[in-house]
Amino acid sequence: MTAAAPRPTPGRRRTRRALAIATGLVLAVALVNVLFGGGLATAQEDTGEAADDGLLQRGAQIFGAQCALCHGENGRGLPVDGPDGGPPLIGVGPASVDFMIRTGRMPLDNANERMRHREQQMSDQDRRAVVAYVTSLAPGEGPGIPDIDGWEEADLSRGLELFTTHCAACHGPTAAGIAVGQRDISSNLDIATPLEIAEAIRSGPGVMPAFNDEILPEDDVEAIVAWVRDLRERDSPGGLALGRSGPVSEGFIAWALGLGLLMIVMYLLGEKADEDGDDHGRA
Amino acid sequence: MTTTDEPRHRSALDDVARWLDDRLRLAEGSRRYWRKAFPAHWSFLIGEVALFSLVVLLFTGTFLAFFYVPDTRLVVYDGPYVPLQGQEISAAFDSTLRLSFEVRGGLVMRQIHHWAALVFVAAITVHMLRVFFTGAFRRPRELNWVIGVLLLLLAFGAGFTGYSLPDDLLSGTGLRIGYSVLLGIPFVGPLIGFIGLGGEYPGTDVLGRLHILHVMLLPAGLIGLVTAHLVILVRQKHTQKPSRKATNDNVVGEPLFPHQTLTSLALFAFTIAVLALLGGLFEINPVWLYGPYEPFQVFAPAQPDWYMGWLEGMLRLWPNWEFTVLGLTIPSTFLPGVILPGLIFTVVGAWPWIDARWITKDHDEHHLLQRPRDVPLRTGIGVGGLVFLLSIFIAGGNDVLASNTSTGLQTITAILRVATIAVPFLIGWIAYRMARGLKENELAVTAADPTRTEPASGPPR
Repeated sequence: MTAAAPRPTPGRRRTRRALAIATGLVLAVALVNVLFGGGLATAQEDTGEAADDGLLQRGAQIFGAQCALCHGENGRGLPVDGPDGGPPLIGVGPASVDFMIRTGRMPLDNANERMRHREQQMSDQDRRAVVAYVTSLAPGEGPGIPDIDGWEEADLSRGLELFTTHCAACHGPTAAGIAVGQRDISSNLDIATPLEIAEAIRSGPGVMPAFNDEILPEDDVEAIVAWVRDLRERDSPGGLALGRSGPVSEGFIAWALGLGLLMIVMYLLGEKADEDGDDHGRA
Repeated sequence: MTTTDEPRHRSALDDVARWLDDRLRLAEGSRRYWRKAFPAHWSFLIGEVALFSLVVLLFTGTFLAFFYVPDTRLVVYDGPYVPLQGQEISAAFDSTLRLSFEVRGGLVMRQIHHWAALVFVAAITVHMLRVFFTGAFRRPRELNWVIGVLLLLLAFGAGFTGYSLPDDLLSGTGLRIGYSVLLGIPFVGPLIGFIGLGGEYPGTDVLGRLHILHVMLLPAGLIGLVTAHLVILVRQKHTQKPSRKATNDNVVGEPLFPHQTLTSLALFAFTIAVLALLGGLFEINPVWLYGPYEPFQVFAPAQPDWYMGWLEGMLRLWPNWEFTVLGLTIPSTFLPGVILPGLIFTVVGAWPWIDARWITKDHDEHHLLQRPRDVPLRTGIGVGGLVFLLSIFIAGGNDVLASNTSTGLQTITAILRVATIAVPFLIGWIAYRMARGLKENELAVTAADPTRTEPASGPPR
């Protein structure tokens, strides 16, 4: 059970938890085997011919150490309730795995954590290994890593149009991100690289829908990438754009800076309470 | 207008003045007007900022109207803004883009106009709060209070119509929300909507009509009511803080010339300066990022300008209750979108009478201001009402709040629902207790040391 293999510096709690999970995992695998007649267990044997063996082995190793705890042995998923039960990864496709690791969303240090954009948590080589390994679990399935080399020449105007049609409903017109439900906040795309944007479009991380190439052909993905980058790069002709969260930040500026400054002016221009024999009234 | 017989060099200005005076009798009684007393305290200047913002709005708005085209007909954009080149957009949006990118000074005018609108309503609000908490609305000034409330309503109307004109995605979304609330009015809503748009949503006439409202009817109403507001103010004279000099029977202040003239001119200049600063340095409503309005598109967050935030918040907070009365379905937008705002405005508008009838039970004429502590109940209700409005105002940005605090959207909404009902009572009660405490303390001090009592000039209480 590679899933229970201890991490470099396991605390006692962690060890206990890992043991409990391992037990659960064994039971789950047993259950799956009973239900599906062991069909899934053979998945790994069918694969591996396409990719480089060394890379695959490294991938399997990292997967066992860092992913299988939640995603289950051989990426079958862990059908338990709660945060420890990760989704199966068989057939999710390279774009999804690459996106999750590249943006530091995975692997999580703690299953209770919210996925968020971080530094990549492993080396590029290791990421490639894990991607190759997970891909080998179901070769050819799921969206591949998109090729968007041409995004710099893509049609901006089409990008804006597609972005407002498909993306702005959740990411906001300026791609600043916004709450889209109880648990989820759409990402601020300011920090996303072109490849990450494209991978997210194809794989649909979290609650985001995936857009396949029938809905958005490669040109369209490139156009969206171009527009999102343009949002960030283009000088704002109107001056300082604080936060760009629309009328909320604008209202704040109007009160704090606009009326605020004018209140100071009024105070300096007008008579204050203690001037001209005014003695605060009657008491 | 020298009163001495000393020979004096007559300038061209004197000639013009004399010529005019011969015909219009300007000098007659002019001394009285030049000496009209104005209140000196700084808090009386807030209303002037609102007035000056309105002036800035009228001038910048006139400039914008030279270039804006209220037409939904589609044109192909071929201006300098690359990301929209080749797209089919409405002539209205096209003209807004032209104003922003091609007309010299167009963008800064647009931005000053928009900032001025935000500051205009903010100044009205603060002005209203001063009048409310100092009891300046009491007899004989009830009428001017009502005119002030109507001015605020017109300002809302002007803001909403202006927000809808550029025909970008955000403005279209605002219009859509307004239209949906309108549709929810039983019996007449759909009819008014149909007539207003000249057909089914979105229609082709709506921008032209909003434009006429925005550049003609609403400004005319604003100017008319502001004039009435000022004429009544001059006629009734201003209120004043009680002091040794200022009593209920006199008016103490600074003469219009030169004191008040200089103060007002300086404030006017500063208002223009601050609005120009905002317009020149801070981006507002970057419609070119939002793209053209398509009825099938929407984005989040879609907020209105701040002064409509409490209406938006009410819609967001209100549970999705839809019920049927006598076969008539009342949609969930009707109560929070129409009835409650109507109720709030009715109470605010009728406040002078509510105040006299139930709060102070005082129907006498008053020209002296009160301090918030003098009428604890009014202060408590006022603070409570303010907290209520603030709470639903915050709810108008619940999605922005949720993502900035990493809290669940529903959690925020649930908290705000409870807060909107409970917190106003709590804070209002605290304000009431504080005001009462201060008042009682003062009475105790006065009783202990009668020499501190104000002489006869104090207000009759």
